[in-house]
Amino acid sequence: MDTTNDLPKHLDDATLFALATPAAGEPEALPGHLSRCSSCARALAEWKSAIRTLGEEELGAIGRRSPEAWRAAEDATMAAIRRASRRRGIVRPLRWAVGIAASLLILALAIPARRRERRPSPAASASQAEENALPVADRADDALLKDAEFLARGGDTLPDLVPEDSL
Amino acid sequence: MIPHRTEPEVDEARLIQEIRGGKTELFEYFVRQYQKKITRIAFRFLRDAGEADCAAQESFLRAYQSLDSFREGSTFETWLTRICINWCKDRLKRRRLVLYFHQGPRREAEEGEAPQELASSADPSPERRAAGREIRERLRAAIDLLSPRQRSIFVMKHFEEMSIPEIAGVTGLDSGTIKSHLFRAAHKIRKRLCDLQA
Repeated sequence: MDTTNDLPKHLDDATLFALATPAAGEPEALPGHLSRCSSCARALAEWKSAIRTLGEEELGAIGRRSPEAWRAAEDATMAAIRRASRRRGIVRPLRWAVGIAASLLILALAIPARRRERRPSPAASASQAEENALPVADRADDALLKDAEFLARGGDTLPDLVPEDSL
Repeated sequence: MIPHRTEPEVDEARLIQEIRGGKTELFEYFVRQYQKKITRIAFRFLRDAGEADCAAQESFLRAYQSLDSFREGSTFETWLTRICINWCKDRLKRRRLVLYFHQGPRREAEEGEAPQELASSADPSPERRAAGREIRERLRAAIDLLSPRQRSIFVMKHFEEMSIPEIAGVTGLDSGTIKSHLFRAAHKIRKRLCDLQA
């Protein structure tokens, strides 16, 4: 960068580019030449303009969009936001409803199961009912026969000893 | 009432709190304020206007849906820009294109539809316009030599006029790294301009 006062040469493209794109936070170190050379001052202005224009050119149709078109794009975005908001308003209560329904279903299945555990089995109930229908003497014989059967199957101890006076 | 961008010092943090509380309509402020910038940034990545619009809308949707995760220490603009850039990167990966701005824009405009040149003086003579076009051609040729990352950072700084902290926030790089990339990019461009001029 030419900063001496007595050099007449104009600023080259690289220097003009550097002056047109100063690093952020650093002030433009404009050489003294610019204050004396209107040609270079104008060239610097053109480089700055060229950089801005190049940036816009690269945007193509986006860069030439009208304010009305931008407004329409913004409206479309806001419409999508509102749809998302409505969906969120439905989904949240639904999640709660699903959770509550699942809990109720689990309770509905669990409670009858516990009741079935406490209630004797139909087979045991039927056997007990049948036994109670027999006369007392026959009940004793029946019990003896059951014990004999148990022992024949290999059982070691009798679950209930039959009273001797009933034999 | 939805604040407008012309109102000074809109408290965006307060707006976010109210939106979190259920006032969805207040999100319109952010859409009006930032959609243009987000779409421009998306276009610089995706090089397609339709996809850029889609990216912008998707970015706002994601920001709205994850507003609870927005941290107070950052600005909404930076956070939203980062969401957009990440979306664009994912999109580019799916398209299996070279990341960032390897390809130039599709030339949609004829010569007569070129954007209005920003006049550096009150005299937009044909000679000045021709000189401006020539400068832009040389610049474009030089910028095309940059690496994708250098180019993206250069574009964000000098075309989108983002600050170093903003660029650091959206790219996840620290400020020193950003400045380093900018310095190298500028050095490469200057060298190329010297070669072209010679």
